[in-house]
Amino acid sequence: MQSNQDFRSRLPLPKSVFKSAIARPSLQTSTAPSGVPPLRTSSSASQSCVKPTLKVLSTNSVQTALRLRPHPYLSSHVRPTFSSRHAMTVKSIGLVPAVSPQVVTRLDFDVENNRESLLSSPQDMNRCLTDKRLSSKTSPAVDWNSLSKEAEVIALKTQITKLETLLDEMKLKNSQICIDYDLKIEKLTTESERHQNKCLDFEKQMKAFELKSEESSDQLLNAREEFGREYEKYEKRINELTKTVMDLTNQLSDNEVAIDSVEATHQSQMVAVEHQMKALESKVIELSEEKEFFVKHIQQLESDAKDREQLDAELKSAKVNICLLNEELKSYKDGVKLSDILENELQELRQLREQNVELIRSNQLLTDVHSKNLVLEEKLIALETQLNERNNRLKGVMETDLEVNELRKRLSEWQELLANDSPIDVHKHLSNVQNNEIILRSELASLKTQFDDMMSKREQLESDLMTTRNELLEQNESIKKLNRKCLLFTKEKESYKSLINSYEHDVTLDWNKVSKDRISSLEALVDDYRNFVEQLETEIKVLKNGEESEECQHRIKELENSFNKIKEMKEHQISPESEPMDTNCAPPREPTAAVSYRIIHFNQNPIAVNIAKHNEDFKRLVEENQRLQNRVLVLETGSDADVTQKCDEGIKNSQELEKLQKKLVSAEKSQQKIIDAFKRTSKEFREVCYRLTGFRIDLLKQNTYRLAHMYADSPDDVLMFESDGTDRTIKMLENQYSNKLQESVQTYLTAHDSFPAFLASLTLELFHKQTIV
Amino acid sequence: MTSNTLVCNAITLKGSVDIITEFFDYGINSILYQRGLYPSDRFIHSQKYGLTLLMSIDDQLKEYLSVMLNQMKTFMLTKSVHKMVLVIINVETHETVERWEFLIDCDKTITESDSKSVDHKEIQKGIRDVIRQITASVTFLPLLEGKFSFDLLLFTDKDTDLPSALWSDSNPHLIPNAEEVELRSFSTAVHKVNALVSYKNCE
Repeated sequence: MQSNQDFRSRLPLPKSVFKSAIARPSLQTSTAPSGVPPLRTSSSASQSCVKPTLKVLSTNSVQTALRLRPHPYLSSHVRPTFSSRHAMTVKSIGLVPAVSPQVVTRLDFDVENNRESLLSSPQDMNRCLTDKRLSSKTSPAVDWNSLSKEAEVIALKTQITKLETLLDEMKLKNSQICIDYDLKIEKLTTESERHQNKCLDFEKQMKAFELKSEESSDQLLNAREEFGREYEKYEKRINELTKTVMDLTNQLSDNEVAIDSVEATHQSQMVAVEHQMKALESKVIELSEEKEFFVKHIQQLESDAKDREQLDAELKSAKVNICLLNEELKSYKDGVKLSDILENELQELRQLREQNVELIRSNQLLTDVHSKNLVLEEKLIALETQLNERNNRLKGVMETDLEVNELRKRLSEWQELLANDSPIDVHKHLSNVQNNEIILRSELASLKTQFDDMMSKREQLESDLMTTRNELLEQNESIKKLNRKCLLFTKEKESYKSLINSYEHDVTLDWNKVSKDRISSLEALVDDYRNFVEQLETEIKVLKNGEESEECQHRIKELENSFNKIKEMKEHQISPESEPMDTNCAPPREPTAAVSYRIIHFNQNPIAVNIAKHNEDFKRLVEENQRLQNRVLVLETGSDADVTQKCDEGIKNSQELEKLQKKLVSAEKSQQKIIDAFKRTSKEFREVCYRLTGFRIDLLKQNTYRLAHMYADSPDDVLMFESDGTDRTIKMLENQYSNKLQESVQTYLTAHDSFPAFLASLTLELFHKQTIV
Repeated sequence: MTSNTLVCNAITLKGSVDIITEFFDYGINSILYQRGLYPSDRFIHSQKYGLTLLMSIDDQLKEYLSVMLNQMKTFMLTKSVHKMVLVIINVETHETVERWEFLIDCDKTITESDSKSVDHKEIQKGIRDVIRQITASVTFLPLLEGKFSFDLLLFTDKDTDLPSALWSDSNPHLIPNAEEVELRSFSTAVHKVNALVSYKNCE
């Protein structure tokens, strides 16, 4: 605004503008769409005179007017039209900023031009001012200030909005530009980074090259040092050669001096010999010849020296050439070496690059492969889980298949069982069976109770039986005792009778009759005793076997039959319970028909072969173990003999020993068995003989027997007999007891030579003694 | 052998016997492999019944099985064999731990010249199911630890004579308190084979 004010102060308005403004005092402010503000009043006189009331034009008209204005430099100065001038004034006051700066500059120029034109006519300025005063005086009552202010406000507002829009646009543009710049910056930063990386790489390469250059410089220094050394060497050689040359020149000079001296001597000789010229002309001639010779020689030496010099020069040049060539050679060698090294290095670099590229490729491949492997592994894991699930499902399916097959079999079996029966019939049948079962169970319970009763009765009967048996036994025993007593009494009676008869008959003694009677009575008595013994034996057997009374036997049989029946009924009742109730159970398998089949197998079957192998291995191991044990024993004994032979012998001996031991054990066992059997049988036989005969026969020594009676008074009452094995004759040996039995000895042995009768009489006597008492 | 059934869809006694013996050959080899009675490297793969089965290459075993199956074939032709049992026995303790029973029901009315119509595929399917069950039975059969071997028993009629001096009578090798699992069966219209495995209850 200050700039606008300054601009305003500078710019004088043209006359035509003021005229038009004065001519139209009743101008009204037209509200332009952009809101062009009205003119402002300034304090300065120049400005006040300059500020006429002008028509406020629309911005568009101003703009169009401005557009129509030609460039001041291109066209001649032409007074602008009203509209353009008005636009200029408006612009000079600071209005309508929506004009391009170029136009503004143009306007400034034009305004300046107009200003000049205006300033050139101050009369017009005064005229304008007076016109204004007149207009203000002559115009009607209109609040021009407020209107102008309002117009200004509106114009400012429009200007503000425009500026704001411009600002927004500028902001957008700025933001876009910022974004673009940011992108550019990012790009540039990336590029800079790349460049930096490249720079770093280049720096690294530079460093590497520097290192290489350092190395090469070091090598160069080394080469230079070597060159210097060799140069020194060659210089030394050169020096030496120069010395030799010097020496040679010295020698030459010496030779020359010598030659001079020789000449001098020759001359002196010549002078001395001039006198001898004549005589020595020949010598002079000779000397001249010699001189000529020496001159020639000198010439030759000179030529030689020249040649030598030439040769030296050639030598020098050759040496120089040699040096150069050597240097070149070295440089070539160095270059070759360097080239080789560098080629090697380059090749290595190339190889490294190629390797790097390959490694990058391989790395990429590996990463791809690794990623693929991971994917494949995941797939594998998923597939494995699926496989496990399917296996489990398969197992379940197989189990279900098994169950289904079993159920089908059961169903088929049931169908076979049921044939054409419907389930309802089956159900009815089952219900009937259940009812029957209930009935049978009740019957079973009743039978069980009956059985229990019967068992209790049986026990009672058994107890009664036992008591009756005992009673019977007691009674039998008592009866037997009584019978024995009776028999004894009868026998006593008879014996007494016989005694009486004998006593009676003693008077009229008839020994034959008596003896016969005695014999017959004794025989009868023996028969009775035998019968009695037999009865007793039978009774003993019966008692041992436990014969029962017929009634008890019958009762026991009845009870056992009823018990068996109840058992069968119980089993029969239990079996139908299991069949129909649980339909899910498998039908009972047929019993293995091993009984009705013949089971055969091949002898050379794998199990037999393996068992044989196992046994062989076992035997082998046992033998080996024994061998090793024997070996250990032999080694522990520390003998120098053949260990293996001893071990084998030991094994054989041990085996034989084991066999013999086994045989011995078996033989001992058999012998023991035989002895036990013999003892048992002999004991039984001796016991039977003792019981039957009454005599216990013991073999004391060979062919001597001792007889001890059952009814003997003392254990010392024994009879001794001796038999002769060859003749089979028996003799009774005398002892204290035999001396007591002299009567029976005489009657039976001496008279009748009958040992049985003697022994029988003895038994009778002893029996009588035992019983009567 | 199997061409009798393949060509005509009809089966004779001899053809059925051949099929059954072939099944026993493959079945016994499968059992021996599954139960680990022989090392697994002594078996080779072979295709049969649409399955990959393992057959032994042990010469002694092959000879033994050929003898047994040939004799079984003769018994089946004379309809005198009723059961074939594979028993697995512990070599050291002589204890029977497993029994694989194969019951053979034969149609007594059929003669050598008779033939019956049958679907060969059904027979193959039945055999395949049985062999699959034999393979799957490994999951519930107890692990055999130690040295074990096997024997084949033939249950024949009482009046059957021994084929040769190399044969002898045997006991049935029953297992007390055994667990039994019944497997599937298959039929060739002439013979019906039921399979059963019983094993010692380790609990």
